[in-house]
This record gives sequence, structure tokens and C-alpha cells, in this order.
Amino acid sequence: MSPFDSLYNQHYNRLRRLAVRMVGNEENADDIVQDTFLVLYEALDKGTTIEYPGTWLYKVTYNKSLDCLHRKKRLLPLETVNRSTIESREASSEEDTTNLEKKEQEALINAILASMKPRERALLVLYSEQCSYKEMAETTGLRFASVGKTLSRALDALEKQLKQHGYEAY
Amino acid sequence: MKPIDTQRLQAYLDGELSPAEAAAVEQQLAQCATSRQHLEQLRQRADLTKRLLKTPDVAIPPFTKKSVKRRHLGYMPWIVTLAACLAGAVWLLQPFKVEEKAPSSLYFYQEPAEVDANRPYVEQATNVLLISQETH
Repeated sequence: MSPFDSLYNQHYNRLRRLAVRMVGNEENADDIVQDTFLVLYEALDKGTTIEYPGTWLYKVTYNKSLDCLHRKKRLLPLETVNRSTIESREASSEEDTTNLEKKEQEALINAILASMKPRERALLVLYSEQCSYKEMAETTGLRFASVGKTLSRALDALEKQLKQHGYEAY
Repeated sequence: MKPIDTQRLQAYLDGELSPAEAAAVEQQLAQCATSRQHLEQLRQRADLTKRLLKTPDVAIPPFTKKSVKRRHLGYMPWIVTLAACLAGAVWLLQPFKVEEKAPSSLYFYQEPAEVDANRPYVEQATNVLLISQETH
């Protein structure tokens, strides 16, 4: 397996998760990830040395997601989903109920993320991917010293909105 | 005792403090029940965030260089493509363009020639040039 193939298989899903949450649209996210790997392919082809490919790929994906958002303006649904209306919907079986809840939960998360700044959105996704503050800073271009504060603020905002829709962390 | 602030507790939870800083936080936690409770809440919030934000893995598609390059054109608005075509057509037609502009005026210019004092004036050599105003 070539170094490119190895990186492609290792990072594909991680990058896709970031792109999906950034642009809120799977089709665009797939394009972003393919474009990111094209950049990697060309960089490796030119003999460029990439010290930390994981962070480098995240950074390219983040920037391409910002470009995509700029191009398409608003991809994420801006209307918030009311949890009580979700629960009132009837489902024919237990499995349907689970699927419906998952879909509605996804819509709710996308709506909450859409209300945040792209940088805060990225920090939350990177946080859920267990990234270090250093990786978050390098990916988003934020100063390392500001990551903790910005992340804390984003987590507070997410928690507040989740609570409004019936999701309690504790 | 003053409770530890959220940002510091968050950094402690995320393993972002130096060993000395982490030890200081642990010392404070041992003495402050409010901070311990707050830390537990942050832990639960982190778990919920990670669970909700994670999207499922998909089957990895093969990487195709050509398909990606072709898709790039999809981003290009049609107006840019049209403009590029027009610019190309204009450039192609450029060699067939004929310069039709005539000089706006003509006049004679007599170049100074060597004068031979022993010969009549009418036999003196003169260089008369027909030049246009643009070249002057």
C-alpha cells in the first residue's frame, strides 16, 4: 500500500465527519474530502514533506469547508427543531421510532451548529474527535492560548441549546 | 474556598494542563466539593457532546483523481465558462484584424546634406523624406 493509500484509508472518515458538520450536507462534504485528498496527492507527488499529515489534512478540509460555505452561503437548515413535536409524531414500530429520533436528532444538531460561527463549529467537532488544543489551533488558525476559552464558550452554547430541546447532560 | 473556574476545569478535564498545574487543580478539588461537582458536570457534558456530534463511518470510496478534477468544473459558474469561451474566440480572430488607419497628415522633411560651396545650389544633394506625423 502506498503512503497516499494508507493516509486515505486512515483519515477518510475523520475528515468526512468534520466536513459534514461544517457544511451540513453529505454531498458537499464528500466533494470536500475528495478535493482534500487531491491536494494531498499532488503535494506527495511533488515530494512535499508533511510532518503531521493528520493535522495538515484537517486544516485543508477546514479551509475547503469555509470556501464551500462562502460559495453556497447557507447550506445548513436554520430553523430549529422542536423536540416536543418530534416526540408527538407517530411511528409504526419501535425501529421506525428509533430511526425517526436519530434523523430528528441529526437535524437538531445541524440546526444548532448552523447557528454558531464556523470556527466554534469546527472546535466542537475536533473536540468530539479527541483532538488536542494544539491540533485545534493549527486546524482553525486560532491562537493556542485562545482555544480553551473559545472551546468553553462553544460547549456552553451547545449545552444551552441542547437543554432547550430536552437534552440534559446531567 | 473559591471554586475553580470553568475554563481551568475544562483544560484539566481535557488533559491540557502541565503536570504542576494539574497537581494544583487536584489539590483544590480535594478541598472543594463545588468544584468536584462542576468537574463531573463538565465530564458528562463532554460525553454528551462527543456522542451527539459523532457521525457514523461510511464505506470508503476509491480515490479517483480524474473524477475530482472533472467535478471542479461543476463549481465554475456558467457565466465564467462563457466569458472564457468568448475571450478565446477574440484571441483566435486577432491575426485576421487589418490595420486600416491612415496617417493623419504627411509632410516633407529635408535632411541636412553636406554643402559644396564650389557647385551651384540646384546641383546640391538633398535628402527629402516623406514622413507621417505619428512617427515624428
